[in-house]
Formats: sequence, C-alpha cells, structure tokens
Amino acid sequence: MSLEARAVDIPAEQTPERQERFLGVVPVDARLELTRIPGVRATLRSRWMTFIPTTVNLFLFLVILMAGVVGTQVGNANIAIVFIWILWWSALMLLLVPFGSRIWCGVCPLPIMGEWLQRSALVRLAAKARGLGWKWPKRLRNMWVVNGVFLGLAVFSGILTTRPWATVLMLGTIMAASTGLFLLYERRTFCRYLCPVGGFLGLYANFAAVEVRPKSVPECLAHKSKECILGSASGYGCPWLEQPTNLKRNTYCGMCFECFRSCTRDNMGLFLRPFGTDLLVESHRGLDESWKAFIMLGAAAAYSATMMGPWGWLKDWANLRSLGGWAVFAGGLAVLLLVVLPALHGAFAWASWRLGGRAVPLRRVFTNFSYHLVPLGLLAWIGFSFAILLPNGSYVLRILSDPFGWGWNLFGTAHVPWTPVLTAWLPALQAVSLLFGFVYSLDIAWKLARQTFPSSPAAARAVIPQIVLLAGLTGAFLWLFVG
Amino acid sequence: MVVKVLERLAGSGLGKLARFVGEVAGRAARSWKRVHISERIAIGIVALTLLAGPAAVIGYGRWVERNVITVRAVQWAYLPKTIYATEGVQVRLRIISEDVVHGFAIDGLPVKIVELIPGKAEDVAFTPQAAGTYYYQCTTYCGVRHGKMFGQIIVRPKRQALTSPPQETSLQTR
Repeated sequence: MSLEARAVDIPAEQTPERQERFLGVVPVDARLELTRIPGVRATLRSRWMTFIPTTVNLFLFLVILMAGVVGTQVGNANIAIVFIWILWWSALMLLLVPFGSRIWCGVCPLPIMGEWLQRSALVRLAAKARGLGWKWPKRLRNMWVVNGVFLGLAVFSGILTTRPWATVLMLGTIMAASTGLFLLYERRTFCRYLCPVGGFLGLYANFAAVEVRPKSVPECLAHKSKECILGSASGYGCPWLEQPTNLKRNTYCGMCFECFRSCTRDNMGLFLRPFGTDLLVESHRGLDESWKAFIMLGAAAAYSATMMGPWGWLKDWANLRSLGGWAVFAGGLAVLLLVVLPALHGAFAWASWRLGGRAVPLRRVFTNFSYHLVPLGLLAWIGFSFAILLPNGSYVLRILSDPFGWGWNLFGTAHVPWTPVLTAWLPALQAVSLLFGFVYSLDIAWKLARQTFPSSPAAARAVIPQIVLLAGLTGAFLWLFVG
Repeated sequence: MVVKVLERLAGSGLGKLARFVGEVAGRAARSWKRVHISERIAIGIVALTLLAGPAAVIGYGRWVERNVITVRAVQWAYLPKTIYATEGVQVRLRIISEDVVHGFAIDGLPVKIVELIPGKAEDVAFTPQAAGTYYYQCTTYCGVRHGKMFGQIIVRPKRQALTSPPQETSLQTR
C-alpha cells in the first residue's frame, strides 16, 4: 500500500507561508489522508464503530460507579481510582490527545445516555430530536464556563484522585447533568460548552497529529445542501454544532465522524498531519482559550508539586486534612492559574509588543502568544503522566482481577505485586518530553511572531521575550520533575 | 359470579389502570415490530450492558465469596465484631484493611497476620477443635485506640449449632 503525502486545500490564513516547516523539517501543510487506506472510510462511516466502544466504556463506567459506592475505599485497590486517574488520564495525555485529537469524546460514555434519549435511537437515524432543543446563550459560547468548572474540580484534586467515592460522585454528577442538559439543549451543547474534560481536550487537540477536514473545500462550498451541518438521510448534522465545511481547528471537533455519514459526496477525510498545525490558525482565537492554556500549564505544575513533590504539608492541604490548609491550597491554586500565570505572560507579551514596534494591538500579541504555551503544556502533562503511569501502572493488572478490592481473582492477576516499571528512566523521559515541548513551543512562538508582526525584523525582536518566558517555564518544570 | 367480579373490576380505577397498561404494552409491542433489526440488536446490547453486566458482577462476587466470611479492619474496629462458627467445621476468613496497616491474630488459634496492607485481601482458614469464645485483635499499632480493636469468634458445639441458628454471621456445617 502506498500513500502519498499531499497538501489539501488550506485557506491562506491557516498557514503564514505555504512553504513553512515545523522545526525546519516537516512542511506545515503536509497531509496524509488516512481514509484512503482500504476499509478506513467504511469503518468510520459505520455508526457501530462508535456505538460498540462507547457501550464497552459505558459498562466499565458502571463497574466504576459500583466500585466507588460499594467497593473498598482504599484508592489503589479500587478500579475507580486506578482506571480513571492512572490508566485513563495517562492514556489521554500520552496517546489519545496527541495522536487521536478528541477521539475520546467520540467514545465517551458520560453523555451517551443523554444523546440516546435525545435521538431516541442508538444506531439508526432518528427522524427528529427529542427534548426542548434550546440554543446555548451566545455570551457563553466559549471556554469560560468550562474553565470555571475545571478550576472548581481542580481545587478538590487531592480528594478526587485518591477517594473512590469522590471520583464516582464527580463522574456520576457529570453523567446526570449531561443527560439532563441533552434534553434541554440542542445536540452536544454539554460536551462543547460545559464538560470540564472537553475544555482541555479541545485546546490540546489543536496540537494533535490527526484532523477531520473536507477533502476539497471548494466542493464543500459549492454543495448548497450543507448535509454535514443540517443532516441528511444517512447522517445527523454535526452533533458538535460545527461547520465541517469550514473546519479549521480541532478545538470543537468531537471525532464522532458523523460528517462522514451525512456527506453524500464522501468529501470528508481523516488526515495525518504535523503536530501543532491548528495553533497557527488565527481565526477563532480568544482569551478564553488563552486562560485555558494558563490553567492547564499551571495545573500541571501544581499537581506535580502536590503529588510528586517532597512537600508533605502541601499534600495535607490538598487532601483536606484541615479546612484552613485546604482553603490556602484552593485560593493559592486559583490565584496561580487565574492571575499569576496570566500576569507573567502579560508582562512578557507587553515586552514583545514594545520590542515589536507597537504596530499591533497588545491584546492580539497577548492572545496569539498564549498559543505557544500549548506544546509545552501538553508535554509537561506527558511528563507528569509518565510519573503517574510508570510507578503505578502495575496496579492496573491487579485491579483487572479485583476491581472492588474484595479479594477476587478474576483473571489470576490479583496478586501481581506493585512493580514500578522503568522508573530509573523516568527523569530522562520527563526531561526529553519537556525539551521536545520547549523546542516545539519555540518553533510555534516564532511562527506566531511572524504571523502577528508586520515584518520579520519586528517579529525577531518580539519573539525574544517569549524565548525567555518559555526557557524559564521549562526550567521550572525541569526543577519540579528532576531537580 | 366471576363475570360480576370482572365487570366490577373493569369499572373501577384498577380496571382503568389495567386497560392503560395493556394499551401501552400493546403500543410498545407494535412499535417494537417496526424497529429495524440493527436497532433491536443495539437495544439488546445496551440492555445487557445496563442490567446483565452489573448483575453478572454482583453474581460473580456472591459466588466466589460463598463460605467465606469477610472481615473488614478499620480504625478501630473489626466488622463484623462477632463471628459464629461450629466446632470441627473449617472457618475461612478474608480480612481486608480499609484504611491503615493493621494486624490480625486470634488468641488460642494458629492464625496470625502481621501486616494487613490496606486494600490487600488476606485469606486464612482454620478449624476450631473446641467450643468456646476466641478473641481476635489488631497486632500492629494503628493509632490511639489500637488497644480497643478486637472482636470475637463464638465456636459452638456441633449439637447446639444444629438446633439453634446463630444471630449473626456464621458458617453452616457442610
């Protein structure tokens, strides 16, 4: 099988210069159409392709719910903690987001009951949607609510990640809320504007190595029936309220592949692409996403310090050992994520703006440069995930056989001892992850500078403070991880 | 007589309810016939996931835990606090710590677990040869009320076990 890399029709504003390359090697507009591989398109068009994994996940989710309620409350002996915070979270950061974009959203069990109720169908096409079908308020059509919900959960991270009942309370609440909201609001409004996980998946999906895009934009524009938006006899209109004809970023593409089903011209494709392509797309950028970038970067640092640092008092605060300590932790985290990091970024953005000749609005400089924090943020999370997965991954084998901590031995692995894997390599893996993130962020920063400032010399001057900022942040993470 | 009772029932609220339920069931049956075969399969899979899945998990748990008494150790008590057993009949205990490291030993019986690691089940089996009350206690310091952490196994003579059923957790003669 031979597949040729090919350039797809990308609007001019998506790439600053068509010959631009990531890290000086991979062309920004290089694409490999995965749907040309025999069988891939047919598989993606089948609604069973999402139904089966979602249902399997739903079963696992039910077991996890049961475990949180009736299982042992010892975290490392309960499937709720081990599967959610060790396996799922690490899988998201290490594999699913970088290589699958929002593929998790396509098979997520949390909102699926709501979607099934809304459609009154599981795998067949329903004639019309049930529920009230309200539209989400225009003012809230951004990531601010998601940022708030995520932060609201983040301050309880010490409890959520160690107590099965807390994890299950959170998941159960998300499931109940999403089911209710599916009956009130149209399509996947909940997933797009409210899901606390969806927010960071959306931002980091812009870094992902895959994308769903029209194969030919002109053909889409000429096709007046807009089946991918409104639906057709073979598929629903985009459940994520996107316009697949004009899809430029992965942020709100939930990888449900519904547009593959609704498009009667087979004009949608799944493409492999270089990392970080969407970070260069200037349209749709906003402060809500900038703050999401700050929150995720700061959360990676805060969790690393809390969970892996040598500061016992910090752990105690996060674990709600005393209300006063927790209040300091929660307040400190909120100030770090919402004020300190944005202020730090603002100071460096201001310096870039000054050095760049003040020819562009400061707000634009601030917003645009916040996107170069995405590669470093995601790679910092990858480094953090290594530190979770490698020492604790062996719990997964034990939990498979004894999900409730009741002494079962379903698959004969209940007595697998706790076995840290490759932990001698952990500092090196974390350092390499961070350095890759740093280099990629530098590359994106330079491209963003050239996109933002009118001339190359101005961009070269403006990027200097960003290099200092990225170096400082990388140094801080290196100190946290391996210092 | 029967006809009269049926007529009265049909006229009552109960009869109306029965007719309503019948109508709904009839409609559901007619709708089900119109449902495409792929949708029926999907509905079956979801029903299995939602009902049979958890039921199988619970059923399996009951099956593997038959003839085993689970004792949970928490600061600072064992649950259950009293276990009933029968002289000459094997007792199988599964002891699980739910919080910190505890210990477990039965005075007068050859059972001792030095470290009960939280979340790690420890199985022990023994056969009490003489009737009486045996005390079990925590043998690893586990906090300020460590000394209060104990329970008892009441072993009854075989004859008594057959005539008076125990009030709490027990093992039956096999």
